Parts: sequence; structure tokens; C-alpha cells
Amino acid sequence: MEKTKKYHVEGATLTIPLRYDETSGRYMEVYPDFIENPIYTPEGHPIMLTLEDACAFGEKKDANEGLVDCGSCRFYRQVQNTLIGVCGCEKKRINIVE
Amino acid sequence: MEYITVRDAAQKWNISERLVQKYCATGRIAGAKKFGTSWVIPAGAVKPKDPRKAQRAPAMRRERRQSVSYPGLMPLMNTAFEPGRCLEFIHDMADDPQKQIALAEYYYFSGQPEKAVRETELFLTGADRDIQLSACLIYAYANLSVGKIQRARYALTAVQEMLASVSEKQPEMRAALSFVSSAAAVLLHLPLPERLPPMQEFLPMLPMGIRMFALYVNAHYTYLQKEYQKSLGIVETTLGMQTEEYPIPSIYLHLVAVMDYMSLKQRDKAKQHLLAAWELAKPDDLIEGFGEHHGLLGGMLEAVIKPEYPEDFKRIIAITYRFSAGWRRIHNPDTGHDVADNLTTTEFAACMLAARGWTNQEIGDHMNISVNTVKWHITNAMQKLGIGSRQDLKNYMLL
Repeated sequence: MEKTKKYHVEGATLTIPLRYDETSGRYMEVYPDFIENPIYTPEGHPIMLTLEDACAFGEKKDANEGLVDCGSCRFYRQVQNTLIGVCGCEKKRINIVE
Repeated sequence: MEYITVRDAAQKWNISERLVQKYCATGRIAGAKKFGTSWVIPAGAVKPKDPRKAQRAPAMRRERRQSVSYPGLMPLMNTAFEPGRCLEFIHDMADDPQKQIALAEYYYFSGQPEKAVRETELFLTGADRDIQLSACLIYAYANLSVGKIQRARYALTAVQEMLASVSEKQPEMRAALSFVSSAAAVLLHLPLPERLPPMQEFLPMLPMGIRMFALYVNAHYTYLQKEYQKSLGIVETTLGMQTEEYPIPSIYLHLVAVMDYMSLKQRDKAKQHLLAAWELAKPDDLIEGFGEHHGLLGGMLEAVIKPEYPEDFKRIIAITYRFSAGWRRIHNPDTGHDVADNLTTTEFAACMLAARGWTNQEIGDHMNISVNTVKWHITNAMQKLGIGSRQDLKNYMLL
């Protein structure tokens, strides 16, 4: 049976498959393509990969660093101990119909 | 005796009257006499020399050193051979220790460290200091590649001890030792030896090929200080100065230029230098340098060499793994760093570029892989290293 890891991200539940890496001797998370197949929180915020290239709406989190990826954007809220997080930018939010 | 006035002297020497008076007052014109407020000067007096020039000339003469012949010091590195005729040159050498050192150099630079170790073992001690120094340097690096770290340490320590014991009255020996010590330290990213004299003191004494390699070491050191433009200046000047092509130092100089240009995000220029290095290396299979520098070449080997020369690329990567394993074992006891542990070479190359602020799209374009593949490699690397952000990756890879 495939090994997976579950994350509860701001109300959304994600199941991330794991694969065993022989060189490092540990399980690695295999992230889905969040750009091709977007996943949203109940609030309509997209879930992203931390190292996704920064988009046109991004703003620097740290004035001394560049804006290269989601991880360096002030709208991004990273989940602990993984490389996924939530984009809190209003311009990227979708309207959720109840 | 006939005398002339200050005005006459000024016209004759094409200087101001005020300066003539100054010369008279400071006693620089023999026979000048003062009458009241003015001076008279012997008609045959010679214009005094400019004191600034007079002082500078002997100082320059004192500092100039001539290059010294070091027949046993890395003879292959110090030879301008035609690419493709490296082995021919070695076979034509007289059967003596120099030939064996040249052969050991060939083995080392063509990625055959076991053979290089065998060739140099006999010369680690001996009367000929140049041969011994060359043997120590090759032996240290070759053992690093075959995983015999204690032996590598032994050879490096022997060089340090020689440097510490040599007298300042032996400038030729100090020059050779300084070259070997700095090469050993800088290329392994170790601190420079405390007793290392300034480079300008020993560089002029080294023969052309060795001097070029010493300048490569200097450019590499400057690169590590993140002074990429300065490093490029050293490389371009050194390459431009050579009157004949010295393949081994030239390959290494071009590789540093690739590192510098990739750090400055100038891919086209980096590619030009990589191809120039490859053109010199390929005919004699001198591929060791490519493997040693892989991590700093910013994916350029994957982008340029891998598609056209897949078999050579595989061998280069094998050198990289072997060399970096030894490199880490040299470093671990002192720094605790295990930067590249468990990373594949592709993961390492992608991470180096990501750490330098390249986007996934830019990395993908450069390495001829898709953006998703870039993300795959970087997420794998970040998980292996236990890193959660690109900023942490930068700290880990570059600091």
C-alpha cells in the first residue's frame, strides 16, 4: 500500500504521497502540481509549493531579500515541516459559493 | 669660470626660474653661488634629475625577481603542449623522475587517481625538493579522490612543514612551496597557511605554466570571496598574457571564468569559457577539473556537455562524486559541514542556482529540463537537507 501523509491546511485536507529515497534512506514527500491542478482552502485561498516561482501579485516579505518564490512573498503562509503553504493574496483567491 | 643667471638656466633646462632657485637653495647644482637675493650658476652645470624618478628607479630594480627554472615542479602543468599530444610529449621525455611526475600529472588530470597515487608514492621523500613537492601535491589530491584521507592529510601536512621550515634566504624554494601550499589550501577551501608570503613576492619567480596555475588558484580564492569581477579580471588577463597555450592551467582558468560568469548570471559568456576549456581538455581526456568544479559550474555541464558527450558526462559525474566525498571527509572534522551529502549532482546544480536567486523557469531553460523537473529536484534536495525555504537553502549552499 502506498505510504501517504495527511496535512490539514486552513480547513483543507491534503494527502501527500511518500516515496522511499534509497540514497538518503528516508521517505520523501511527492508534491502534486498545484499549478496544473489547483487546490483551495474553504476560504478560497490556493495551496502552493513554497518554491513555486513568484507571481506578478507577489510582494517581498523581507526588504533585504528578493522576491523569487512563494516562500519569499509576504502573502504566503507556510505549513510547518513541509514545503507547502497557503497563498493569502486576495487577488489569487477564488470566490467560494456556499 | 663662466656663470649664467637663473633666467638663462631656466630657459636652457626648460623649467621655471622658481625651480632653478629651489635647486640652488637645496644645493642640487654644484658651484651655484648666491649674490644678494639671486643666484649665479656655472655655465657647464647639469640639470638636476627629478628626485622622484631618481628614487623610484632603484626601488624597482630591487624588487624585480627573475623567473627560476623548476624542472621537477609539475612539469606537465608547466608545458605548452599541443592539445591531443600530451602523452606523446611525456613519452619523449628522458627516463627520469620528471617523466614519472609528468605521467602522474597526466593520470591525475585525466581522472585516474589510483595510477597517480602509484606513480607518486616513491617520490614523497627524496633529495629533489621540486619532485617531492609535486609528488605531495598530486598524491594528496589523488588520495582524496580514492577515499584515502589519512594519506591525503599526510601529504598536505608534509608540504606545510616544508613551508614552515624554509628560510627567507631561500627565495626560490619559498616560491615553489608557497605555490604548492596555496594550491593545496585554496582548492580544498581550507584556510591559507599562516606563513604564506604575499603572492607578488613569489609569483614572478615561477615559470609561465606554474605561474598561470598560481593565478588560477588566486582567481579561485577571489571567487570564493564573492569578488566575481575581480576574479574574472585575473582570469582574462592571465589567459591574454600567455604567448603559448598551456593546456592544464588554461583549462582551470576557463573553469573559474565559468563559475564567475554563472554567478553574474551571464550564461553565454560562461558557455564560451566552458567550451574553450572542453576544447583543450577533450583531445587528451583531461577531464578531472570538470568533475572537481562541477558544483560551482552552475549546471553548465548538464546544459552543454551532457547532451553532446553523454559518456564523458557520466565519467565527469563519477569524478565529482569521488572527489566531493573526499572533500567532505577533509572538511567534516573541522567544519561539520556536509553540504552535498546524499544530493545527486543534478540536485546540487539546481540548488546552487536556486540559492543564487534563479527562478525555476530560468534553471529549467538553462539545464534543458522542465520546470516541474526542476521543482522535483529542488524539493527532493530541500527535504534531504531538512530545509524549508529558499533563504535557508542560500545559507546552506553559499555561506
